[in-house]
Amino acid sequence: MAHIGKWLRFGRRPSTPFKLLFARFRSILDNNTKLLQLFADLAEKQSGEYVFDRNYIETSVHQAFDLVDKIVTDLNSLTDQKYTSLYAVVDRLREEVRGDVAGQPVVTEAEFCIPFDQIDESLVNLVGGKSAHLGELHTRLHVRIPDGFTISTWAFLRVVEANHLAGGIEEALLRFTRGEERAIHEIAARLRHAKIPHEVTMAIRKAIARLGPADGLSLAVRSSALGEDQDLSFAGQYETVLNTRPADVIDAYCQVLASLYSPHAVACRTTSGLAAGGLMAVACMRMVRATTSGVVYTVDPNRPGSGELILGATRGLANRAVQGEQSMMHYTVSRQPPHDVVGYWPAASTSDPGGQADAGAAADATGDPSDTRKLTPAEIRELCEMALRIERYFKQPQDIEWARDDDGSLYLIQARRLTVSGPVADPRDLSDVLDTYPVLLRGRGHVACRGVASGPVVHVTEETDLAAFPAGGVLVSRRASPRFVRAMATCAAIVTDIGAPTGHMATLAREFRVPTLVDCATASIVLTDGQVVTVDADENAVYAGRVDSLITYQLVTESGLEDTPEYRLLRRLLRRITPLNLIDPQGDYFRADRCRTIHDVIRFSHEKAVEELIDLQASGRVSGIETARRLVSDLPIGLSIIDVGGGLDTAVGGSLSRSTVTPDAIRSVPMRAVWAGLTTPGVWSTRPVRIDLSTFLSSAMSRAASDTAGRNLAVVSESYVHLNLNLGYHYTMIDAFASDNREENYIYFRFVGGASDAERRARRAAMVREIMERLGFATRQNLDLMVARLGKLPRTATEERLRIIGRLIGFTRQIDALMDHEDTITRYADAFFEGHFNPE
Amino acid sequence: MSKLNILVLDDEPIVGKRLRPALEKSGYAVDVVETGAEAIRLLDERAYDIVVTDIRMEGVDGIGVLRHAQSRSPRPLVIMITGYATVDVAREALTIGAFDFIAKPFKLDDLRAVIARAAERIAADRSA
Repeated sequence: MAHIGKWLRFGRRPSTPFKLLFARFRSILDNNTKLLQLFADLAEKQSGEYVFDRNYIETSVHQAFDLVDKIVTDLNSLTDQKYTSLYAVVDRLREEVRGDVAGQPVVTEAEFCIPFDQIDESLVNLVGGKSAHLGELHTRLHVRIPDGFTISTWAFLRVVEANHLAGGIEEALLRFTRGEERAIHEIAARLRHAKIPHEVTMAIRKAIARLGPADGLSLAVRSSALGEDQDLSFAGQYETVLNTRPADVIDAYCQVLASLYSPHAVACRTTSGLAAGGLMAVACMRMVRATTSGVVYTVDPNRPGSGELILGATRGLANRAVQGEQSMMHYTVSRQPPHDVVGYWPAASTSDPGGQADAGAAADATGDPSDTRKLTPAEIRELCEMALRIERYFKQPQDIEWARDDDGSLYLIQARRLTVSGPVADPRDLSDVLDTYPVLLRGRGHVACRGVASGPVVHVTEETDLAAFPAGGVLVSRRASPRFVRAMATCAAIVTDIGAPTGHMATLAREFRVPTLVDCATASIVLTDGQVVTVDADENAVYAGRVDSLITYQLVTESGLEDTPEYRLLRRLLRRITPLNLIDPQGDYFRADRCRTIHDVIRFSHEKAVEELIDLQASGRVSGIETARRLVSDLPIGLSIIDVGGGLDTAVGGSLSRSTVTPDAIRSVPMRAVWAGLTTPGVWSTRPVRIDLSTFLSSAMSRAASDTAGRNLAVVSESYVHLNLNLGYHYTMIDAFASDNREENYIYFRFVGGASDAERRARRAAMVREIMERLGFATRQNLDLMVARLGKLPRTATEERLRIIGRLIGFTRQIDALMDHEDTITRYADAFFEGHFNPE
Repeated sequence: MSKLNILVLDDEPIVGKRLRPALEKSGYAVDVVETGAEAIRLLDERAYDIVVTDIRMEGVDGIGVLRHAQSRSPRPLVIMITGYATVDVAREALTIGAFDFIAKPFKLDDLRAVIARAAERIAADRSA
């Protein structure tokens, strides 16, 4: 089909009116914008500021695919069916998303063994709840966990298949519903003695070998079933095998798998709404050679309002099931830094059940293993900081098991939600309590991420060293910068004057689950440095002082919103929608078959549509182009303008030829604004652009050497402009509408490429992005490509921004070769706003 | 002034999870249920000032709960939560006597505003 098209083109194919093709192009852009807005809407729901349900998610996904379908159809229409392979790509994505929404734990072919360094929450279907949980803590919060890997649910399915167990399991479950327990025990026995397929055994051996020499290696083999996570109390249902030597791992694996089938476990799964058959992954982790170990309860379960946490410690490796907790010594410690010890109870020694004797003396005398040396204040602080870091992330009280290795390193063994049953202040009184605290901010700005936290305000500026940000501080800043990520694992909350819940910093804050408010306008003025505040990002309020009742209330009643099925589904879907893999349009991978997400598809389509538009003009395949007029002006830009309705007043300019037009003939409101910006005195330097030979060469190689003449094109109407500019190797696109109806107004600004090396290009894009964010645009950046969008502003505000963008286009020509350090990003952004268009 | 009692009904647990703390912090006493049958049972047992209910649910739906609420005395004010597809049903609910409706997804502030208006109406009715 494409072949025939080409032939016809080569021959005497009738040319299509430009207006028609341009309408298709505009349609692609419009749907692109709608889709990006939809992405932002979906992402924003993660903040917690909205109440949404599955229906919303499903409807949005449906709308998204509708729009993608339209874009792909329009693209193929515009390009004469050049990209029909995109249809199959979109269909595949649609199927994957359907599977996600249907909530079937889709386990597709994957690795049999996955190291913990590669595990995060997104792999939960493959590694089970416990491993996903630990992996998340490790990769997200940098909590130290013992080396290890997880044998995946995919391996489990292989084992079931190889041993022909599927039928037997189904039948056993059926008989169980009729009251027959024996069938379950039989299946368990069969699994216990299953033959593990060769490829699974090999994978396990390889994974063990990666942990180090077999000599002295001892592993903990633990269950990590689907559903075995924070919310569901499967504690004790499944097997754990400790102190396993490498040679015995396979046997231990079978033991743990078999524990899937006990009457109690099956019943538990059924009442929890999980598939009765179950899916089991198994974690294998190096046993810590513990000198001390124990537990932390981040909240006293019986006195949740006390502001204290509980530490338990014992010598060697604590195994609660065996030793029980009486053999641990206990501390109650303040949750506030510096974590002073409030109370201490020595371990009850077995030779003195009453625990009256001095534990230290008993140890010396009897060598009682329940005695241990006391923890040092530094060790206590380290434990508290780790435990509270985890609690902060999950926003729920935690029951944490830890162990300290003989080299002094502190390891997290397990972290679970702690059920708190102590008396809670009557919720009816909470609002009365809240009334007694001064409200510093309420209903200002937007919630970027929910949660409640308290701490001292720490003002942050461009110069602040974020690596030194104090743990538990409330980060307050004028601007929302992605640089804050360095503090996100340990800060209590973030409040900014400027920023968007869909912005880059907000997205990062949600990944770290930091309670965050943005766009509050006066936060940096109202919240003073050092002042202790309580941020309630659930309710978009900031109180002066630490509101203990609120913090306790939140801890005790927190329902783990971020871990509900709806939030998890949303996250899973967003992973199929928003990540961008296709980055460099000139690169080898910028192909239809490389599209992995919806964002990839629309980026690809957008890029190809723009290419087509520019080519159309040069190729003569369209009629109506001859009405394009060349703009004659002082600026050395070869710009062609096509008027599609009311954009030019050709009566102006008198007797100039029909093929040219002067700037004063431009009637298009947005085009005039951009032009005014471009021609601002001082913006367009007539000095030669400073550039050294090496950067010139690197840029010439990175972009196909092409004839740039004729690539500067503006399509205008009275309220509309579409402008493609290729200046000094920059590719700029502006698509904007500026009318008296603010609902219709928008600006879409795309900036990419440029002379000099990749690093400088990325910095320049970062600078442009910072400028656009300061102007209130929603932005996205990938290396040297920056896209910014803003809509629904009144006409004059839209024109003002277009003028600034015009100035910016001129400004960026100057500074390429100068951006040799990271700090030039903000410095030149500042210079631009101060009107210094020629910074040195 | 005693605190107002609010009954929240939605078959999706996430709604109750999000609404309870928000409403409790505003000073209301909140009960959350997930089925129409349970809602009716509670309505018979206790006096509620306000009911916030989803419209479309299996079994007894929001309209059923609305009608039952209207048989109670004192009559609670009922706020309907709708999804995209059920806005028409929501308007219909107004003609039956619902106080107002709000469409998902909604900002908590928006619901708080509706509840605040309902609270004002209750206060006005009681002083009358």
